[in-house]
Amino acid sequence: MARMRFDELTFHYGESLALDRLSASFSSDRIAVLGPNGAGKSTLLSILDTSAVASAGSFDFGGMTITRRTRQVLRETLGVVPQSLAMMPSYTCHEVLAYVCWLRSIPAKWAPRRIAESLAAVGLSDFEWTRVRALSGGMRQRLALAQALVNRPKLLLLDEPTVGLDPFQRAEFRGYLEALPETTVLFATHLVDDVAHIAREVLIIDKGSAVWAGAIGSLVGPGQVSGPAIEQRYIELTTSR
Amino acid sequence: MMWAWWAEFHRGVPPAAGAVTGVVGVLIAMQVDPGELLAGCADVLNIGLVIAVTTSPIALGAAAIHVAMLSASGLLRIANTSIRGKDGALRRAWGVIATWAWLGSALSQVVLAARADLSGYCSAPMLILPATAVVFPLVMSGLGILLGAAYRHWAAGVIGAGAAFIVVLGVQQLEGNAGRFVPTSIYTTYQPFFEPNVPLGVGRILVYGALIALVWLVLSATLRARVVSAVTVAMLGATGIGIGSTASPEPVAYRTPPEAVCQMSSRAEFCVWPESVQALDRGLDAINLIVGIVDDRFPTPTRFSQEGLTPLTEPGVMRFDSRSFARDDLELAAIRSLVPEPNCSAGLDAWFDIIDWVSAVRSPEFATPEVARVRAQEDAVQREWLDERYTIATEICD
Repeated sequence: MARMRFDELTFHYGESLALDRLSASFSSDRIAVLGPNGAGKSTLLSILDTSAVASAGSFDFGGMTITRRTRQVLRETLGVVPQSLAMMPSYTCHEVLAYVCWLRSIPAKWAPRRIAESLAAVGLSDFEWTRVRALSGGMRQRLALAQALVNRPKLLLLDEPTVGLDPFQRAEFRGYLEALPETTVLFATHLVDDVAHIAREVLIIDKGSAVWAGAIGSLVGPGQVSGPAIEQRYIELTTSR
Repeated sequence: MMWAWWAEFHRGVPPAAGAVTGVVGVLIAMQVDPGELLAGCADVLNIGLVIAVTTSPIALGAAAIHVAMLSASGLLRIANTSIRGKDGALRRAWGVIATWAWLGSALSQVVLAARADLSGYCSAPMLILPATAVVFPLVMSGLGILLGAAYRHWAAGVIGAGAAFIVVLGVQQLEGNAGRFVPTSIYTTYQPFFEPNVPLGVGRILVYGALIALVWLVLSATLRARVVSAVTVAMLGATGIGIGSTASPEPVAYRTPPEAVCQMSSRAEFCVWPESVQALDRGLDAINLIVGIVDDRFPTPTRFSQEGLTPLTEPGVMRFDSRSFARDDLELAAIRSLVPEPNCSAGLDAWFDIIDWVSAVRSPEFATPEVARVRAQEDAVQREWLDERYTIATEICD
């Protein structure tokens, strides 16, 4: 049974078509959305994170079709790491997560434990009372991930999560994502290394349409999963259109 | 859930705005001369309202800037994917900013109250003033939230605050009482025979309530909340406009019933409002003393009264400035009551000459050069000089 399914998702920004009847189906818990700038990755994530509503089409997660009526159910178990999440520089890590706990309607009596868990999951336990402005870029990105974990999400959406991180930080960040066994992770990126290390399935989109969707092994061939191989196939698929 | 609010409450723009509101409010409150305040609640509550209204554009600007910062931080983006939603985050920001606006203006109210004598007259209609002072910052901060949500840039807050202040001032100008926006101005304070205009005040509060419901309507995500908000807007707005339109346009109404406490001496009768009875003896002593100085120089009144009492409408009853009751020395007020204050500059000059002359008789060291020159001359010359000034002061403006 498909864990997640897109059924002819369409989205318009005014006159411009950002997603054009995008359909795909995924059964694994690590999904990468790959595509050039302006391909519609962020638009797709906006629909999945329920901040935008598709002009047409629908998507299913965990056997439930997400509509205006059911999106609150999804939001209860949704974690989101937007692109370039700056957060409030004057807040401490604890305060940022407390704010998100409130947004996620986590009862106050549970929140301190959830905050501690989330910070521990990204290795920031020692920085709970450090202000955001004092964190390095890599630590901020880990905090961005931590805020997405406070409600123990079943679906975690990340938009370009490792952009701006150095290779060591990227590897570290990928490690945190791998340590989330109960969570379906869908991330948009144009960094093929991340795809190679994290994803089990890939959706390649270009100009709002699905170019390719399926298991990563079938994209590049079994046993050939690597950054360069994915990049090669990605270029072939997107330039042939 | 106070724990969850704490970070937003004590970090960044909200407490900064509250501090600015508090400092501005306290500075204004400190500028008010307690000696100019009437004993009782009216002046304190009215000036407190003026401070709350004057500083509320700060809340509008702060709300817009705070929303811009929440947006830039990405937290509004997260809110948009959460159970509470972006609307919930904006409502919470509204509550935080409004609370700081209230705390700031409450601080100035405390300073005002601490410096004033509250033992005098207080009435139920005066409760309209603090109620308005609570509702108005809520309206302004709500409008600031909407402004910030529409234009997510800090400049929108600055421009919005400036524009709000101009609008608030402009409305007062149109109503003909812009002086009320200078809390140290005499026009800010109520005369003792005034009460807040109840229909006008209640109508305004209901209209402000409608505006709050309108902001809530815009910030509501669910259909049910929108319907409830829309009905509330319609009901409060219609009721407020309906009640307000029945009121006279004056912001105050005459106090009733005009009960007076009076005391007589061999020279004069002096009447005050019941709450000013402690000034009755001192006032009558001062009147006796001053009337004794001038009663054979020009016609002296025999009846003196605090503002607004029934005898004031009768000819020959002189107004005694009740704002002087807070001072030890009531003689200057008695001197000023000898001749009605003229309403033209030529008459005023003569009136001040009379005041100077009487003051100089009472305390020769304070004689002006002109009065000293006159007083150095014969009694007949002095009488002629006073006669001329009395005639000018009492007749020239007619």
